[in-house]
Amino acid sequence: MTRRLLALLLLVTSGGCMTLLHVFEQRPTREQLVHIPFPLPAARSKVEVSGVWLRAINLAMDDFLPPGKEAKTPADACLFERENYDVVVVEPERARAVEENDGGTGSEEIDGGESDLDGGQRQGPEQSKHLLYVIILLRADVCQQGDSPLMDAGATYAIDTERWRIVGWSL
Amino acid sequence: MAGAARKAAHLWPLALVLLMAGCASPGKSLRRDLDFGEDGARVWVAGPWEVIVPAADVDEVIDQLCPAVMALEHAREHDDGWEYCGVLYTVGEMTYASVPSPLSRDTPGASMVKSCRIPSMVRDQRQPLAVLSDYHSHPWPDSPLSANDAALRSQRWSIRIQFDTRCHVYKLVPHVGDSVPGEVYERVAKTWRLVSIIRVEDKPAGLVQPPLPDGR
Repeated sequence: MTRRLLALLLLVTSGGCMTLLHVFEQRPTREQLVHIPFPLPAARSKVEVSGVWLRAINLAMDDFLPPGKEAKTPADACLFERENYDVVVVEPERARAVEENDGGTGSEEIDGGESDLDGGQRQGPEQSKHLLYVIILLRADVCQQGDSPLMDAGATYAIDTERWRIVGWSL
Repeated sequence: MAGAARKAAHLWPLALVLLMAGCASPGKSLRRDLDFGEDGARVWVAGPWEVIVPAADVDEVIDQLCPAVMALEHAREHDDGWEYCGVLYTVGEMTYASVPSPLSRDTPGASMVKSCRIPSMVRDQRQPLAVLSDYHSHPWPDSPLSANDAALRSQRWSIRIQFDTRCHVYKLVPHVGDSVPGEVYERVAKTWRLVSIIRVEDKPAGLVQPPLPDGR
């Protein structure tokens, strides 16, 4: 029993170490840091993304291009880079209407989206007020697509933003 | 003798399974470098496709596409399936379909993301030929035109045809370069029914929406 507990503890702590290592890998040393001016320079462009949208995008992107996904070809390596995609988030009008009628009480049920239409593309509940659609599109000017670009190079996800689950997807 | 008969009786389910496996068609294979291929970064397809009867009316050609593509290998195998991409083109007054190509970036195996590369060249000795449209299949049922299919960035021709394993056939008229909405039609009883539009501001992302009352 003690041995099992020790093994579990080791597993958990090593997982934590790996996470910390990953964080440190992303961070430059103090000497390498770029100075952030005050005030910030005039913006050429800017965008504000809500936390809900950001989390929905992360959920979809983590499924579409899981971290650490290994490319077998140079073409794949390019297609596995997240910066080569654009993302569009759609909040359905119907969801907003349901929320208004519902008075925001959160009584709308979600069935979990495990249904599968004839083994085809999974569809989640469409009437949820906590639903965002995340569309991932490959940029046109990347990955040397040439005159024969890829059809269906991205995907569309339905994200339940209450339970934070993917409840549907299609090409 | 009776023992042998009993043993044979136990084997009949296996025989039935083997028989059924033999009957199940894996789908017709196309030949790389004969039916389709790559020329540098470009995908070419051979034409005309002999299983599609050419016609003066392009819709008569479109109506033949889905059953023909769905007879190809892996065309209907869902997450294990392949997408096929081809083109429609004219020579003189007649419209022809090219052979489709399964060339893709996809590595073999199950995946919920499938793609194929849009051919940029038809190998047909007759000239001049003009490409009208591309067409492609999805290997799932109930899989209509996607945002990626409809996005302006992926358009090469003035029309795009797409269909799924149930042969729901869609036509996209993207109106590239024109500030008018894109149109999505479904083929119903030999006519095109407008099912969705893509507002001008949504054309870059291919956001397909239901038609508005005034058609805009």
